[in-house]
Amino acid sequence: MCRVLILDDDAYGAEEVKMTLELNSNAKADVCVNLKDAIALVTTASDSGKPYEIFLIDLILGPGKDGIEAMKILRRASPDSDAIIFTGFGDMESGLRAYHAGAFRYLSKPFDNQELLYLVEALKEWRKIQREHSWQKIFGGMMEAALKQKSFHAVAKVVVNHSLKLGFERAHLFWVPTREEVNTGNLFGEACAGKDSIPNFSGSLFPDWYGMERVRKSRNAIFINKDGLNERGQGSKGSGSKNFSPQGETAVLPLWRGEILIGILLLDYGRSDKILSEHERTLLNLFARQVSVVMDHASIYASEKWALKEADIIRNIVHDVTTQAAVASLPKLLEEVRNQIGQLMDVSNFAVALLDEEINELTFCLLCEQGKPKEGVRRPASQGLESFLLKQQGGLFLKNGDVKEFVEKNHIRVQGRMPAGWLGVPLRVGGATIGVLTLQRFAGDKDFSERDRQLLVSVADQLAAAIHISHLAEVEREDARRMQNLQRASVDMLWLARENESHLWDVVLTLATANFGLGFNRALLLTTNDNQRFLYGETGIGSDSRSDSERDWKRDEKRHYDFDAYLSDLQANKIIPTPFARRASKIKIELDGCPEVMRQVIKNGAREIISESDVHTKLPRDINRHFSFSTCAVLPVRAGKNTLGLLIVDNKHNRKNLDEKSLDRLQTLLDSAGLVRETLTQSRNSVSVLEANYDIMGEAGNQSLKDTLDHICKTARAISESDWAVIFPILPGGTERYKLDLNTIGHDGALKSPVRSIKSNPRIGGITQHVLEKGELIVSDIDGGGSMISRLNLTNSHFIRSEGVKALIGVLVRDPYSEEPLGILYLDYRRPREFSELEVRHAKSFASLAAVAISKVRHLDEIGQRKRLRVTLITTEIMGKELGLDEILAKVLQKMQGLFKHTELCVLLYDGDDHALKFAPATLKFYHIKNPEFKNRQIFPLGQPERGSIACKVAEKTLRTRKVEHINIPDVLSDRDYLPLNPKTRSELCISLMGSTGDLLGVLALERSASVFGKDDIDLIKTVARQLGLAIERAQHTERLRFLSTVSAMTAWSSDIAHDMNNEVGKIRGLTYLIREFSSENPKICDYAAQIDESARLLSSVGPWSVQTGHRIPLDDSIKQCIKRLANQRGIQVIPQFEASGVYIHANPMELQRILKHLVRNADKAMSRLPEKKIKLSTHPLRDGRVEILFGDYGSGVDETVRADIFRRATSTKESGGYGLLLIRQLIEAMGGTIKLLPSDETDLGAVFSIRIPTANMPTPTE
Amino acid sequence: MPGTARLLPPIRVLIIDNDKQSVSIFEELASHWGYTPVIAEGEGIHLLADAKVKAREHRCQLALVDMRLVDDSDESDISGLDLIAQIKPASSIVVSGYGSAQVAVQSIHEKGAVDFVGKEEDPLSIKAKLQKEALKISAKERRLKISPTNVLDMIAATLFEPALPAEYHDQIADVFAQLFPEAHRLRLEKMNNILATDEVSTAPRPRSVVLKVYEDDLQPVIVKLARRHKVEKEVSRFLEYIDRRLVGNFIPVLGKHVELWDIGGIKLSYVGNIEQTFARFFQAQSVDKIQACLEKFFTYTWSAHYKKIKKKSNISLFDLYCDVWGEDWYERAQNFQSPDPEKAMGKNLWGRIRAADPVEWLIKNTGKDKKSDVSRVGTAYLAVTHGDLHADNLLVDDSQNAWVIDFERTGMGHALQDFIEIEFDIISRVACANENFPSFYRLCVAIAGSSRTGEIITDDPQLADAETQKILKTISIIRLLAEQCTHIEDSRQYLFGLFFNSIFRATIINAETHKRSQQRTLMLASILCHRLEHWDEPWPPDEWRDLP
Repeated sequence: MCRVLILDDDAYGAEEVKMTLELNSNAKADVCVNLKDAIALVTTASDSGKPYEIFLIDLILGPGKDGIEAMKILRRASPDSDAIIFTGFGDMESGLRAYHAGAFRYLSKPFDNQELLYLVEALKEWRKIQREHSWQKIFGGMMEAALKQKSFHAVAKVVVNHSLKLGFERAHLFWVPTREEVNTGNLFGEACAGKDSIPNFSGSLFPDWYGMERVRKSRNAIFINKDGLNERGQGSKGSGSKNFSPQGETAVLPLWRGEILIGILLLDYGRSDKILSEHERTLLNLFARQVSVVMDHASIYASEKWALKEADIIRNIVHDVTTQAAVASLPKLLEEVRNQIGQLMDVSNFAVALLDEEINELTFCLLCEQGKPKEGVRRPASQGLESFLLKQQGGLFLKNGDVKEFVEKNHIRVQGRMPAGWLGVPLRVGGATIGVLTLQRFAGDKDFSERDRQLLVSVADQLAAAIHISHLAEVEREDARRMQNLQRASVDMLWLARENESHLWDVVLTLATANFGLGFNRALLLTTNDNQRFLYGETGIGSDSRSDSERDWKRDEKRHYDFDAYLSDLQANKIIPTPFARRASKIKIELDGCPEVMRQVIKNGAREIISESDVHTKLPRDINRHFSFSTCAVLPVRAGKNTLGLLIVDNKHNRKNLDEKSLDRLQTLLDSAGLVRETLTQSRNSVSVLEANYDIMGEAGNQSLKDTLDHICKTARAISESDWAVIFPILPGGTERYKLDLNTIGHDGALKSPVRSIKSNPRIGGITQHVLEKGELIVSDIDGGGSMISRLNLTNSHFIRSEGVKALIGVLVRDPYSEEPLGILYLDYRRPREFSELEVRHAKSFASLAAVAISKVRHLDEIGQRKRLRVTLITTEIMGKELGLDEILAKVLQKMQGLFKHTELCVLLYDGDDHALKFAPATLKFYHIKNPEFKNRQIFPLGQPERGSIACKVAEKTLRTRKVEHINIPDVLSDRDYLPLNPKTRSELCISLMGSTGDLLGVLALERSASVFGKDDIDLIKTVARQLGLAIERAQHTERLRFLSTVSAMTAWSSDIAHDMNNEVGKIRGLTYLIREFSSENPKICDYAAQIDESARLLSSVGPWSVQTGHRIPLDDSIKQCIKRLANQRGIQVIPQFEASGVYIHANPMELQRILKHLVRNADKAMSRLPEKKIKLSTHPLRDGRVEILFGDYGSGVDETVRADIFRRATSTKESGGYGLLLIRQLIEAMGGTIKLLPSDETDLGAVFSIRIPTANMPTPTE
Repeated sequence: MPGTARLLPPIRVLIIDNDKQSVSIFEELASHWGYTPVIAEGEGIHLLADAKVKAREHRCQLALVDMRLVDDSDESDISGLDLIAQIKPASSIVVSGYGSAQVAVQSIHEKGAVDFVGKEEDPLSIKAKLQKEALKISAKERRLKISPTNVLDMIAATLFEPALPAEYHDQIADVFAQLFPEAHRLRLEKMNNILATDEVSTAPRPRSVVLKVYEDDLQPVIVKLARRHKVEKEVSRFLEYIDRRLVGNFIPVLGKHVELWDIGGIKLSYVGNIEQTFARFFQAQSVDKIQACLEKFFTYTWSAHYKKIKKKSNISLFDLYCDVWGEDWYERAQNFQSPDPEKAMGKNLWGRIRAADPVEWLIKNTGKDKKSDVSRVGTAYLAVTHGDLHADNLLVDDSQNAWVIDFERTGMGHALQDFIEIEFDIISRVACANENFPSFYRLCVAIAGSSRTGEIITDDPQLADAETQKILKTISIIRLLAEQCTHIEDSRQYLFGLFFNSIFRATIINAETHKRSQQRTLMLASILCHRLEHWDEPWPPDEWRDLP
C-alpha cells in the first residue's frame, strides 16, 4: 500500500485523482485543499513513522500560492517523500522549475488517468530502487565496518548501529552461544542500539524467548506485528520482554551458521506503527545473511583467540627444553638443562653423550668434569660404564662406593678417573637408545638420593625428546639447505656447462661431496664413449688420506664455504684439483671386460651398492689399482634412455652410511647433469650436421622452402635407402590444433598414386598425432603386428595400403630453440626393415635439418615483419613532426629511398575535380622523368582506354572497389598500360593511397630496373602506403586549417576597419536621430537626416565585416550588370557566353561583384604586356545542381610552382598582397561553392578559373 | 497620482567610451530619453578609474560601456567588458563597433553585461534596451507602488549616511523593485524598532530594518534591509550556517537578495503568519508561552548546531567574544569613562557593596595580559551561534514559533552566547527600564548567584515586583535550556558571557539619553565581576544581605 497525499485547491479534481489512484493502483490517498492542512497531515504522518510516500501537488494552489513552494515545505517536513507536480498545459517552464526544486516529475494538465498511473508506478519503482540503493550502501558499510573490528562485541555493536541506519528505531542482537541453548530457547543479549532499547541488555539471559520456535524453523526473516507480539508476549518469561512492546512491525532476522542458529537480530520501529514493505522485507533477508557472515566471522575470530590463549598457558607449563629444542643449539640447551638440574643437585660431573651407531661411538655433547666443560670428546661406545647402560634397557644407579665392585664384576674398563658413585640414564626415543645422561660422584662428594634418580629419569625423558627434535630439526635444516643448492645447481648447470663443459662435472662432483652438498666423502666419474665400449675416467674429487680430507672439510666449515663461494672460485679458476681428479684421467676400461655389476648399471641405468668386501671383485681392476674404495655406490649418469657414464661414491673417511635419501638426491643431480650434457652434445651434433649439409642450407636462402625441403627429402632418401621421403611442415601459430602447410610439403621418391594425393588428406590422422605426441614412430614391419600397429590402425591407412608401405620412420621436426613442432618427416619403405640406432639418428638429423630450414624461413618472415615495423615507426615519427604535406612526403620518400635500394619512388595525388592523378610536388625531388617524350607530363587523367599508366589503373580500380589496391608488373614492357616515363624501368609496383574514409587520395608508384617486387616487398609497401594515406589526409586537413587561419587573420584585420567604420556610422546615426528629434517641425531637415541615416546604414552593411547575408539573385543578370563596367574601366574586352539564364544563386550581390572585380584585376595584370586585353566569361548550369562560371584570360598562365598553392596560401607574383585569391575562395566557399584554377594544358587560354556555385532555383510554379 | 514613484529623480546612466564624440552623442541621447547621463572622463586607464569613481559617486543604475576603452586596434583589449563587474551594481549595456554575436555572447554570459548593442545600430535600439533594463531595476520606471511612504523615509533615515544626497535614496525603492520583480504594489509593515522613540533600543544606530512585506495579494514575506556590505555578509553567513542547517519547518528560506550601492535587501520567506518580534511577544505573553517558544527554538530549530559542539580547553572566553564582536567593543571599554556611581545608585549603595569598577576589572583581569586572563574557566564549548540573538531578531508567528533573522554575526562562537544574548536583552530592555531599583538589584544578585548553569533561585520572597519575577522565571528557563543544549554545567562561563555583554552594552549606550539604563548595566556588570572574583565564597556576601 502506497500512501499518497493530494494537494490541490480544486477539491473536485483532487477527489478524481484520489479515485483513480485508489481504484487502479495499490495506493491510499488523502486529499488536502490547502497547504496548512497538508502540513498538518504530513507532519503527523511523518511523526507517526508512516510518512506519505508520494505527494501530488497542483502547481497553482490559489492566487499567488505556488505548488512548488508548497512541495518544498512539505518535503522538508517529510524528507523521504517524493512529489509530482501538476502543471498547466504546456507549462514546461514551471515543470522544469518543479523538477529543479526536487519534484520527481511533473505532469501537465489535463492528463489521461493512465498517464497518471504510469507516472505513479514509475515513481514507486524509482523509490524502491532508491531505497534499495541506500540500504545496500548501509549493508556494505556494515560489512566493511564490521570486518575492521577485532572484538566480537565491537562487531555486534556495528551491526546494531547500522541496523538503525536502515530507519529502525531499535535494534537488539541476541546471541546463542551453543546448540543446547538453541534448543532450550535461551538467548543472550549481545548488543542493542536505539532509543528505549532494553536496559542492561548486553550479557542478560533471555530464557524461553517466545519467537524462538518460529525462528528455528525459518531461514528467512519473520515479521511480527504488534498484536502477534503482545499475544505471544503474555506467555514470555523473558526479563526484558516487558520493556519490549513496539507498536509497529518487528523484524526478526535469524542468523545462521550453516545449519546452526547462532543469533537473532530484532529490529523494530519503537513507538511508531510502521509496516515494512514487501521489498524492504526482501532486502532485510539479505541483510540477515550479511550479518550472519560478519557475526560468524567475528565469533570464529574470538574462539581462535581463546585457543591461542590456552596454548600460551600450556607453553608456560612446558619446560624450556621442549620449546627450544628445535631452534637452540643442542649444547646450549643441554647447558641450560644442567643449570636447571643444578638447582637441585650437584652437577659438577655431568655428561650427555649421543650414540653414533654406525661407528659405535659416543659423542659427548656435554661433558662436565669437576665443573669444567670439555669439548669434542668421543669415546667408543663399547667402553666404560656407558656401554653397560646402552646394552641394557633401564638406568644404572650406583651409589657411592658401588662403582668399583660393579666395574670389576662386569669387566668394564673405565676411562679416566674412577668415580665413586655413578648415575646413568639412557636417552630413549621410541624403542631406540640415542644416548646417555650420566652423573658421577667422586669420593667425598654427596651421595645420590632416590629422588635425584627419579628426577634424572624424568629429565632424561624430556631431554631425549628434545635432542631428537633438535636432531630432526638440524637434519631438516641441513636437508633443506642441500635441496636448495641442488635445485639451484640444476638450473645453473646449463649455463655453466655452456661456458665450459668440464665445469659441469666439477659442479656435479662438488655437490656430491661438499659440506654444502650431499657430503659424500669421495667421488669418481667415468664416462663412456658413443659406442659404449669404453669407460674413461673423467674426473674425481677426494683423496685417500682421511686427515687431508678432514682438514679440508674443517677449513670449509670454518669459513662457511658455500655454493656461491664455490661458483665464484670456479669461475676464477681457483679450484685446486684433488688427487682423485688427477688420477681419474688414467682410467680407461673396456666395458666388455668389466665386472658384471658395472655393466648392469650401464645397461639398466639403475644404481648398485658394492659393499667394502666386494669392492675388489666388483670394481674393475683398473679402478682398484688407482683408488681404494670402501663400501661404495655406483650410479649411472643418464640422459633419457642413454647412459653416459658412471659415478662411484663412498664414505670411506667418516664411515657414514650411504643412505638411500642422499643417493636418490645424487641420482637426481646426475640425471639433470646428464640431460645438460646431452643437450650440449645434441646441439653440437646439429651444428655438425648443418656443416655437413652446408650445400643444402647454402641454397636454402635462394630458393623456396619447398625446394629446400625437397632437397632434404632427396638426400634423406638416398642415405636412408627409403622408397619415399616426405616432410610436412606445420603452419605456425596453431596452438590447439596443428595444421599442415600443404603448399610447402617436401618429398622425394616415386609414388604409385599421384603426388597430389598426399595433399588430399590434410587432416592430422592417428599416425601424425602419434608422432606429434611422442616425437617419433618406428615401425619395422606393418604386418608384424604389435599393439601400436593395431592401435594406430596402420594397416588400414590409406597411404600405407595404396603404396604398400611395410616399414616407416616418422620423426617430429622440432624448432631447436623453442621446441615447437615445425613439421614431420616420414621415411617409408616398401619392405620390412629393422632400423639400426644409426638409421634412426640419421632420420632425426634430417628432421633437425628440416627444422633449421623451416625455422629459418619463419625467421626471415619475422625479419620482414620487423622491417615493416620500422617503416611504420619512421613514417609515424615523420607524421608526428610535420604537418605540411610537402614536408611529410619529402621526408617519407627520403626514408623510403633508403629502405628500398635501387628503387624509384613517386607519389601521385588524386584530383577529384579533374579526375586525374598529378605528381605530388615533393615527389619531383626524388623522381625524374627521363623520357623526353613525357618530360613535362604532370597530369595523368583517369579513364584512358590505353597507355593510361599503371598508376591510373590502380587508381581506377580503387575508385571502383574503395579498397587499397595494388598492381605488380614484373615486366613492364609486356603491359600495354605501361607509360614509359623512364626507359630503364623493368618492373613496377603501384599501390593506391587511401584516406580513413575510403576515399582515393593518390597512388604510390615504385619502379625497379633490375629485380622484381616480391611478396615481402608488397607487404612492406602496403604498410607504407597506409601510412602515407594517413599522412596525406592529415596534411590536407592541415592545409585547410592553414587556409582558415589565414582568412581569419584577414577577417580580424577587417574587423578593425569595421570597428572604426561602425563607430562613425554610429555617430552619424545618433546625430541624425537627434536632428530629427529636435527638428521635427521642419520636414525638410527631417528628410535630409533620414537620407544621411540611410547612407550610414548602407555603409555599415557592406564589406566583409557586414553580417548581412545574401539573397536570391539571378546569376547571369547579376554578372552582366557589373562585368561590363569593371572591364571597361580597364579597357578589357569581354567575350561572354552566358548560358545560365533563369539560374538563381544565393549570394550577396556586393560579394559577387567583389569576386569579379578581383578576377578582372588579376587578368588585367596578367595581360599587362599584351596589346589587346580580352577575357572570356561563360556560365552554364551543371547537372549536379550547380552552376559553373568560367573566367579565363589570355595571359601567360599561372606558374607551375605556385599553381597548387594559389588558393591555399598568400601567394603572389606581385610585390604586395596575394591575399586576394584567398579572400575570393573564402567568399565563394561561404556561398557553398568552389573555385579552382583549371590545368594549363586543357585550354588555349592563360589562367582559367572555374567557379561552381549551387543554384538556388525555386521549383517552377505550376498554375 | 498616488505613490511616491513620480517624485524620484531620473535614472542615472554612466557613459563610458573613449571616443569623445560618441560620448557627447550618447549624453545627448540619454538626456533626451529622460535619463541623467553621467560621463566617465579621461583616457585609457584613467578613463577606467574615473568610471568606477563616477559610478559610485552618482549611484548609477545603468551604464553604456564601450568594449575597448584603451586601444581600439588591440584585439585583446576587452577593458570595457572587464569593467562591467567593477561598476556593479550598475547594470551595463555593452556598446561596440565590433558587431559580432561572439562579442555579444561574451559580454553577457561571461562578463555579466545585461545587454549588447552594436554602435552602428539605430539609436532607437539603444533606447529600447536601456528602457528594458530600467524597467527591471528601477521602481520608478516600473511604477511600483510602495506604501506607506513614511516607512521608506524611516528606512532612509536609518540606513543612509546623513551626508548622502536625498536623490540617491531611490535605492530603497529599487531594492524592493528588484526583490519583487513581478510586483505591482507592495505594502510594508515594520517589524523591529526603527528609530524607536522608546528609551529601549538595541543600539544607538540600528543597523538594519526588518519589514513584513505584502506583495500584491500574496502571502507576506520578511524583508531585511541593511547596508550593502552587511547584506553581503549576511547572505554568505546564511548560506554557510543557516541554509539547510536548521531543523524543522520554522526556518527562514532565503528567497532573493539584492545589493545596490549603499544598501541591500534580503527576502526571507516563511510558513504561517509572523506576528511580532520576540520583544513584543515577551511583553504580551505568559511565561508558559514564552517557555514553549524558546524551547522550540533552542532544542529544535537550532538544535543541529548544538549537536556539533566542539570542546576546547584552556581557551579564553574573552578572546572568543572578541572574535565574534571584533576588537572595537574592547577598545570602547578601554576609553570608557565610568559615570559617578554614587549618583547612579543613590543611598551610597555602590560604596556599601564595595563592588569594583567593572570596566577596570575587565581590563585588568582579561584584556590586559593574556597570562592573567581569568576568563579561561574550564573547557570552553564552541558551536555555531546566531551571534546577535536579541529580541528583535527573533520573530514569533501566530503559533508561537520563533523565527530567527539577521545572520550577520552567525558563525563559530561560545556555545552559550545566544542564550546569554537573549537573557541580557530581556534584562536590559525590561529590567533596566524598571523604576524599582531594589527589584533590579535583587534580580542582579539572583542571576549572578547560580553556580550551575541550569540552576537559578527564583523564589526570592522579597521580589514582589511581578515584572521582575517574570523576567527571572524567563531567565531560569533560558538557563535550563542553555545547560540542556550545551551541557555546560559550570555557570562561570555563562556569567562571564553575561559580564561581557553588560560591558558591551554599557559602553554603547548614549550616556545622555539613556543614563539610567547605562548605570544599571554597569551595576549588573559590577555585581557579576564581584561574583566571579569571589567564586568560592558564599553568595551573596553577608554584608549585602540587608541591602534593599
